[in-house]
Amino acid sequence: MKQYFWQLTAIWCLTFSALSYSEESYKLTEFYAGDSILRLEGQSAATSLSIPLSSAQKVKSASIHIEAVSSIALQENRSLLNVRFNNATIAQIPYSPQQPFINETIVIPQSLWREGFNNVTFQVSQHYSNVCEDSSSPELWSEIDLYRSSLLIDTEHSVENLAIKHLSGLFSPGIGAQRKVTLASIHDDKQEVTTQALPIVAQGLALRNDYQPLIVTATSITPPNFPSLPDGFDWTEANKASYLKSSFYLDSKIEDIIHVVVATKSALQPYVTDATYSAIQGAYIGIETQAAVVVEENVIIPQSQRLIVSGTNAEEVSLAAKALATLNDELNPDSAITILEQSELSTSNYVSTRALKPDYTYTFAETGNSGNDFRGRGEFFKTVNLDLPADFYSPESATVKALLDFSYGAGMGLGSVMNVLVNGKIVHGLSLDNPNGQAFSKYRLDLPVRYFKAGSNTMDFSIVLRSPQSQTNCHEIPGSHLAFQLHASSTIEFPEAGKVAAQPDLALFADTTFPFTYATSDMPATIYYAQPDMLSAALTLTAKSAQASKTLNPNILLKAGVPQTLSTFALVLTRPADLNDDLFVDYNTAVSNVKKWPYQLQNTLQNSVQVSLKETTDALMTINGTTLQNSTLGDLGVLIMKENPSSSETGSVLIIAAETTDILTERVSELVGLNLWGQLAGDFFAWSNPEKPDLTMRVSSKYQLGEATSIWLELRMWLSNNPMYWILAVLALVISGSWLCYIALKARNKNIESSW
Amino acid sequence: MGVLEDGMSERTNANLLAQNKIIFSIILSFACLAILLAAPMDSSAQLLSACVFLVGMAFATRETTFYHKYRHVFRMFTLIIGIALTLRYLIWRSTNTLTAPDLLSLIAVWALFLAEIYAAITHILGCLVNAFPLIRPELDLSEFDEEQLPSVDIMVPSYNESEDILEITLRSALMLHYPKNKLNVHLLDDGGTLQKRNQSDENKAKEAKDRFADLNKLCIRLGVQYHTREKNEFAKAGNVNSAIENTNGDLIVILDADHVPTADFLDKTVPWMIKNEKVFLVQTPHFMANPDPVERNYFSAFTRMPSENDMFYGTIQKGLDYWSSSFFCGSAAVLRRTHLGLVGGISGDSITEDAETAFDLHKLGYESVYVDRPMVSGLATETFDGFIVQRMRWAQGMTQILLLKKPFLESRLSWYQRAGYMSSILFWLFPFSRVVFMLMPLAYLLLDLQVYHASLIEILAFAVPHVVATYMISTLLFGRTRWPLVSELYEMLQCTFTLKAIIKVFIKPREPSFVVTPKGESLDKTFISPLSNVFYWLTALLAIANVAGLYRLINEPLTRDLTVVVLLWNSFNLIMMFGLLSVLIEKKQIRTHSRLPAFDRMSLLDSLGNSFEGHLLDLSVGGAKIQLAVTPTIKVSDTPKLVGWSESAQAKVILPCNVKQVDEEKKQVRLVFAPKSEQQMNEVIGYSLGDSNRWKSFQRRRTREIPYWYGVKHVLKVSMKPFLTHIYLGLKQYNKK
Repeated sequence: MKQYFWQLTAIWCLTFSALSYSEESYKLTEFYAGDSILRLEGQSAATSLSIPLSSAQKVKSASIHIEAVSSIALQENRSLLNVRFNNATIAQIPYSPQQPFINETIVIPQSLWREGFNNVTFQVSQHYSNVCEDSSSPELWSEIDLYRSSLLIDTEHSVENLAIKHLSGLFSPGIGAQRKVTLASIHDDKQEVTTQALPIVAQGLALRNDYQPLIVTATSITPPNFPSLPDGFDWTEANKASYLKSSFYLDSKIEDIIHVVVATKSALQPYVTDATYSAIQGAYIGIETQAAVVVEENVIIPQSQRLIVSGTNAEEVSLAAKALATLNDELNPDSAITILEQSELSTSNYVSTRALKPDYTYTFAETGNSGNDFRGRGEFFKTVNLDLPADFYSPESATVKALLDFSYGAGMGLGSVMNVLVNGKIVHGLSLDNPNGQAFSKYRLDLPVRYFKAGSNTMDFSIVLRSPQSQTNCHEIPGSHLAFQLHASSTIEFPEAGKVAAQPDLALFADTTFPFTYATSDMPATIYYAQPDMLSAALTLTAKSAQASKTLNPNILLKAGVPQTLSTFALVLTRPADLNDDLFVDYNTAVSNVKKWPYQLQNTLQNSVQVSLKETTDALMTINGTTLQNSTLGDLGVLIMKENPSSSETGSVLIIAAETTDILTERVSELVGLNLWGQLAGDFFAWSNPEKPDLTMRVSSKYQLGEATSIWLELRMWLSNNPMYWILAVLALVISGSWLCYIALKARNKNIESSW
Repeated sequence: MGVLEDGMSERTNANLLAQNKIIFSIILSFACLAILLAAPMDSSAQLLSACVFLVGMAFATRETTFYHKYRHVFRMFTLIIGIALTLRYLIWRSTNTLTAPDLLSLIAVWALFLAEIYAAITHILGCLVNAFPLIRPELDLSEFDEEQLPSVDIMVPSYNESEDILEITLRSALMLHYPKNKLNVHLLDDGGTLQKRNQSDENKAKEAKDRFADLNKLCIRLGVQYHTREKNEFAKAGNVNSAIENTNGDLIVILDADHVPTADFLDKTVPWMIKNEKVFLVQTPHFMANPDPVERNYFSAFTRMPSENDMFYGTIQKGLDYWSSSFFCGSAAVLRRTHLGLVGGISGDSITEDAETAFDLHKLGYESVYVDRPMVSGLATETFDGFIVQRMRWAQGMTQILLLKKPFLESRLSWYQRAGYMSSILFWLFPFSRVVFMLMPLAYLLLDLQVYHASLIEILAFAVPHVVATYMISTLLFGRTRWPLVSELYEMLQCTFTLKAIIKVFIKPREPSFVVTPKGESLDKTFISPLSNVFYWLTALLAIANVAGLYRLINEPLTRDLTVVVLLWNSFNLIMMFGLLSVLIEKKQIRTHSRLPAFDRMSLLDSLGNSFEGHLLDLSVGGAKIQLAVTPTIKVSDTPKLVGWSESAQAKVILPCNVKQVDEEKKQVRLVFAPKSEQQMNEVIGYSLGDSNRWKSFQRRRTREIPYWYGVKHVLKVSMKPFLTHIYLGLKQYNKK
């Protein structure tokens, strides 16, 4: 027994020591938004990939493995793939017609790595002839398979004395940053700590992770049962005190560099050092190192580091949590701070800073988009991100007005163009064909508002710059003179819009977390978790919601159990066994113990029709009928969004159900991943793996949420969703008018006839 | 008696109250409907509702074709829902589409929108006018004693028509079934006035003197009073007014020189005058015995499809009659002298004196009657040139009435009379909208002007239902009397010329002068109309625009939605323009008198006294084609006699003929009438032109209901051939020069 204990302890210590460094392999597709096959054409072409690195990590070693293929028409000595890392050439891989397949591993020198984004550039020189070469010849190509190519990187934790400023390195989208975090609370602490502060902390950390998901594990600190010691050793009072202040509550498998404890001062008392306890005089954020528990040279609990979010009462804990979510890490070199005051921020404040206001003109600079200067030959892209409110509703005939300031230099060749795309659809094109160059000021584009959607939008400028044809044979103009500038003074104006959204819409939820953005302190969005163990999943979802809405939502509450009456905006994490059938009354789908599946879910043909019609005419296409059955969900996770049946006001409820708590936690971890979250759509979503959903559907009719800014918009929305009432009213008036006209005309005719 | 009067008065008051309630309810429901139509709704919902309405319209239209109690209700339903779709379209256009990126586009956008508003107004007025066409019973003089009958002056104004044409008209007038002592026929010759006879141009003066002498002789020979005057003042109106001063009949019948009345003309019209003293006008249709240039050159279907004026006389005048606003059309009408006297005779402020006179008398509260029986056959203009001259006069005259008389402000007219007149007058402003409709696709395809700011789904939801509804209503109202797309064809044909004429009137409303419509022109060879150039240019432009449109369609994917719509629109214009080219090929016309189908039983007597029974196939004042029961033994150059019943003479007539052609296999003989005496001449005219039943059955035959797509197919089919013919003939004419 003793032998086993020491073996286990040794393994645990090794595990912990591994926290400080790790070797990971990443597919290059993870760093590139385009196609997995990167095709490089022409005499010269280049593409860069951005590889983020956490500021808290130091690269010990890194290599890049490249799998590529080149055209067999390429000339051996002059054609090569040049790999550059942060502008330094790290490899020159020759192309050979005899060996067109390339399988190379290149070491990236440690010294070239820097914090933040690192650029890997693949640049090719491709030739098939020494004389009279056509630079656009189809023979000039090579392809890099980004999916098979990979980055192997070995990093180690580089920060010795953690301070708050290091949080943005520990939690960041970069390599080496934490993708998981444990949030610990004290078992008998104030309820508000769990319901309010924990979700805010989860959001705060997730916002630092940017787009990279953060899996949250919740744990509750309870007075421990001291583990048995090796023979001959007993727990002394000092050891017991040391044990209580250690990270004994952490799962031994957890590899986090740092974990978080959220609690009130009084609840924390047994578990923190006196110094820390004394330091908590208000809303407190501090990082402390927990000493290892060593008994006679035996490490019982290893050293660890934790972030403490605390306060003398629950309100101060919440305040500290909010401060954690909103503070700028770089401004906090201390390891502990006390928040004195933070002016109250409502959800709308957060949201309004992020989303563009309707009926308002923004310069590109104001939307956070800089101007661009493109030079030389090639294709260039500029993406302008335009985030509209999730409840942006404008009449479809309205127009978005863009006034563009841009210019291009002289000597553009044939095929030089500027294309403008909105959400991937080409909306405008301009040939850059003035030989002397041209400058445009307030170049007006009237874009139908239907090209834009509520939530995130992109306006892409695709610029192709080509050299002019040379008058001399076999001579190409290099194109270094080519220049195009898009100025940040360009403006975009969105039309007046109401604040209404059609629901249910999981795609909109994924993009903006609507309708959770409607939550206020008076009407919070509540995440109900049916089982205590589901708190982790609830916090993970809370964290993801902050990332989706790109802002903190302090009005998300967590509540244990599923009550009869849910709040207006609710998310329920549950097992089928915990669900009340009342929740599915008047609804054609149910995932309680008795499953109710609508016809659409069961019918392949109907599914395809519904998907292809994109919800527009679902009311017409719906075939009624459901099947009731006793069955389990197996490995499936099911997400349903529907109108809240138990709320007095119109609201939405999201239900995430899985057969067991463990399956649910696993499915939620998968759901918040980059793959699945982006595929959320419709109002019924079922999945069993992290790659793709098993079923995405719309099974219920639409309803609207929000308030139009005017009666006119309200009416428009209502009529658009209920045209049959309008049709019937018109028909009734036409029929009555026809009848009355007939009577009147007949009477006149009778009068005329009587005079004959 | 007093009690009876009180009872009647109470009933009248109750009726009035009920009537007012109904009118109030109609106004209320239409106001509610207008509000509903303005209610905002997304395109997908609008598309759904448009589909529902169009299906409802289709069902209701079908129901109107059956004779049941509620067919008029279904007719009203179709009209109201169709108008609702049009109003909905205009509301959407005005609130959502009138934006443009630059000034030029803005001008184009508004020009198109105004043209659409104009088209919608005329459409809605048309719906109102034709909602309930009045069907009058046929009255005759048999119920009246001879003493009750008013005296009638038949007036035949003439300016430059030939003696042959006049003789036929005058003889027919003399053969009218009416007491001879109450019937006087007058030839009003404006070609032989003192002014004409004494003009400085000697040749023309001689022509006038000869005409004066010849027509005098003709009148003496026929027993007709010849009238002329000193000066040619106020054109036709002045001519008639001059004659009115010198005559004293109670009623006045005005017949154009080529308008030959059937014998029953007065029998069927005068009763309406006797029955109601307030009636100042009884108008009858102008039945055209020959095809106009469009019918002859383009459709070649004169006997199978409705004539252009069938729509006006067969439908619109009946609609106007219901609203007490049917108007005088210059000829084939009976007028009351006393009422005419109240407005100083035929009015002369405009060059459409006929409509203006009716307007003046309607203002005074007098009534008009329209008798829908063709009893006067006339000649349509033979050439495109003449056709345009006539239409320019009508367009200018109606525009003059609009500007000088302002019917929409005339408080002495009831609202429906004002609507009726505005419908008739506004129609003639079609060149503005038609030109815009032709040019706007060019503005987009060639000049890149953004004339229509809408997405494809909006076009499908608003524009297409409006167009479909308009065509459905058009088919409902005029399906029998106008084939699809024919109106568009006529409008495109006239618009370039009449637009210029109308603009002149807008600049100087009193400037236009009366131009006599040339009739009776002979076409001895096929040639291209001298007015063709403008159509060549337009065709070329439209064709270039189509090529440009195809180029845009392929190369500019961003605007593909709109390009498809505009390209279809332009292609429609181009196809119609191809069709118009055929109208401009003036086809050779050998026969002097146009023959019309006839089916009367007859027999043919040869010189040996053999009689061959048979029936007529066609007939004109010049001759006939007959179908015999047996193979005839008659040969070409024989002089048989045709024996048949004459409605005019109310007796059998024996008409001497010459045989022109014999088809023994088909047992058909072609004859030329060879009258040898005045009496025989009268009999030939009476037999061939004096029977209104023949015109009626002919008209009924060609105003049949046809499927909409059959009509469209026919128009499109005959549109493509002329393009090639033009090239061929153009080259031929060029070589000759």
